[in-house]
Amino acid sequence: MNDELFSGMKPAAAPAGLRDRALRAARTAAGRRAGKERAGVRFTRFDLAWAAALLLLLACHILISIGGRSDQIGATNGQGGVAEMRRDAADRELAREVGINVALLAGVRVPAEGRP
Amino acid sequence: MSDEPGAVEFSCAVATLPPVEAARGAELETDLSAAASLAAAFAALAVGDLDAIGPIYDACAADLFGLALWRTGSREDAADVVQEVFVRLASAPSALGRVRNPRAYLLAMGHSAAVDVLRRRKRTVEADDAVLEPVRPDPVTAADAARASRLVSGLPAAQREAVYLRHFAGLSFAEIGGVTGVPTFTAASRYRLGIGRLRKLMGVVR
Repeated sequence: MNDELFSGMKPAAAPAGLRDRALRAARTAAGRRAGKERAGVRFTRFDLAWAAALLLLLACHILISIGGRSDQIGATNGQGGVAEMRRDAADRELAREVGINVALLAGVRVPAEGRP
Repeated sequence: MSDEPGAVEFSCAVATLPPVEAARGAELETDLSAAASLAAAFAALAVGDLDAIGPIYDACAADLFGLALWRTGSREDAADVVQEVFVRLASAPSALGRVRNPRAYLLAMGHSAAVDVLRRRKRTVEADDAVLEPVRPDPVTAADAARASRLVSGLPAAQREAVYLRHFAGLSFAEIGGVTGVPTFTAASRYRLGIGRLRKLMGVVR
């Protein structure tokens, strides 16, 4: 220890009113917790945020599964996106009738009438 | 006095100790008693006795405030940290029953709250409230304390914190590492760098 370094000095003391302030805040927090427990609420804000994120993920998953990939709103990048941009309405209609995703036609040249 | 043989032998042993050793023994006994009282208050709070918060405050608030003040450099922030620690204590008291070292646990909460407060404030200018004050109202010591405060404020926050915990809170390097969440070697290194720089700046020859 370096007793000579801080001789005659002590750490600054806490303000006089801090005790009341801290204890009052602690009692308020304890009261809030007790109220939640009485109401049967046992989760925290973190739990709520976690549950909301999971629900959102699940909802997105279900929506995508049900709707499939839209050929109207195409991908914005990648091979699929390029394919969709190049396809005209007839190609998209054909793909829908056949039951395939238009993005799968990437790189495929669909023969048009009057064109080899 | 107890009639048990062990108790009589212990009393005799203390009586034959040199004065310095006896004083250290008495200091240790006081520390143990304070630690036992704090552990009892923690146990009481863990089972929902809110009146136990007062004794916990009385036992640890000075250390907590000092730690927060040395870490943040601001009395206002340090007061917020102390309040935050007691709010956290009261919000989740059930975990307190399993705490082995209540004082170190509270200081670790203080460290964590101080880091949070600093992160929230995002100060552009470093606060430099006085972290030291004279023991006696003596102008010379007051001037020394003011100068030492300024020099302490010039240290990095982590070094200030290590110096405070070692010098004023009396923690071992392993305990400082536990409180601040760093390895023992890092805690010791921070302390030695900080205290070395202060000693150099204050012109104290060891």
